[in-house]
Amino acid sequence: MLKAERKDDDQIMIEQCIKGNSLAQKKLYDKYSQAMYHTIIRMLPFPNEAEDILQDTFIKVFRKIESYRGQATLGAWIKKICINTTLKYLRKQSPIAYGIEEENLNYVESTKTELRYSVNTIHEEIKKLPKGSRVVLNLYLFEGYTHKEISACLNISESTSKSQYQRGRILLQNQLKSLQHERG
Amino acid sequence: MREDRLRDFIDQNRLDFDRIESPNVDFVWKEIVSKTQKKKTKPNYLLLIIGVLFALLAILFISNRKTNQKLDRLEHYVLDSQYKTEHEQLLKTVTEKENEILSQNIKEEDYKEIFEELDELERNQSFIEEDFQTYGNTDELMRTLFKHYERKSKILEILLLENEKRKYNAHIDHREI
Repeated sequence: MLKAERKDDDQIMIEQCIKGNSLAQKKLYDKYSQAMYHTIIRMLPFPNEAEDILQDTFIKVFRKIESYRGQATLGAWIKKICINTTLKYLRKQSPIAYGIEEENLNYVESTKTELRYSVNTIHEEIKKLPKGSRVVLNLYLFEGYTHKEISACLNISESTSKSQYQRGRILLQNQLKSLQHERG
Repeated sequence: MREDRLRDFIDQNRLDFDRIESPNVDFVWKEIVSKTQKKKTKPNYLLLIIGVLFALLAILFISNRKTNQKLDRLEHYVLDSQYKTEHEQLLKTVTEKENEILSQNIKEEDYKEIFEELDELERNQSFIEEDFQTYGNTDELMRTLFKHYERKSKILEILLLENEKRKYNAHIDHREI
């Protein structure tokens, strides 16, 4: 019942957005802007630039909303535009290096201990990762992309995607460990 | 196989990961509104400007064409100085005779054949004018035009004489009665 109501609600909102109703556009923006911003900022950790991408994303959404056919949920459709806009921006900004550097990456995760870090800390530490592994890690962990999808999306091989993901995880784990040491 | 606890942690707290930061959503919204409105109005202004430009160009083109046509006609008649005097003289003669005929209230039905001849000359004149526009004021065309005026002048002269004759005869008839 609730799902049906939500669907109807989205449907009305979409129809009104197509007609250029600014109230409906604002409603759609209010509903999805927060989540989209976090998707962006995790890959592009600079607030001003992330806000610009958020802006571009919704401008595209309002322009393209007529082409939304309901194959995916509205949120997923907007998310796709959001991710594509972010990746396009990142590519323009500077080429993303996906080659693995020979670093001393020691993975120290224990299988028995629980993760003792807050959502906030992990979020902030992800933002500090190098661009290549940050993007792959975000797409894989947060956006549910498979390595195959990531490889197609970033024009890299599947194995590179996997390596970047592993690298990102190790770096993140190391960052969290050193943070723990700093705090005593 | 090692459990991916990071992934699990993120999955469990997925919504919280989207609530950490506070972007300036109102500012971004204002920017979106201003940009989408600009996009909406820009094409309208563009279309308006294009429409006005087209209208102006059309007006300019038409008026220029008409002016050129008038100029062409005038130029064809007066451009060559060697023909200018002769042309003016002939035209003056024809115009004077036309004015005289008009002042005498000559009825067309009384001189049907002569007026038919004048109509034919009018048609010829329009052909000559077309030729002027096509070929310019060549010597041959100028001579044709002069011949046309001379012929027209003669016919108008005949008309005036015929009318004089008719008036004279009417006067004699009146006296005899």
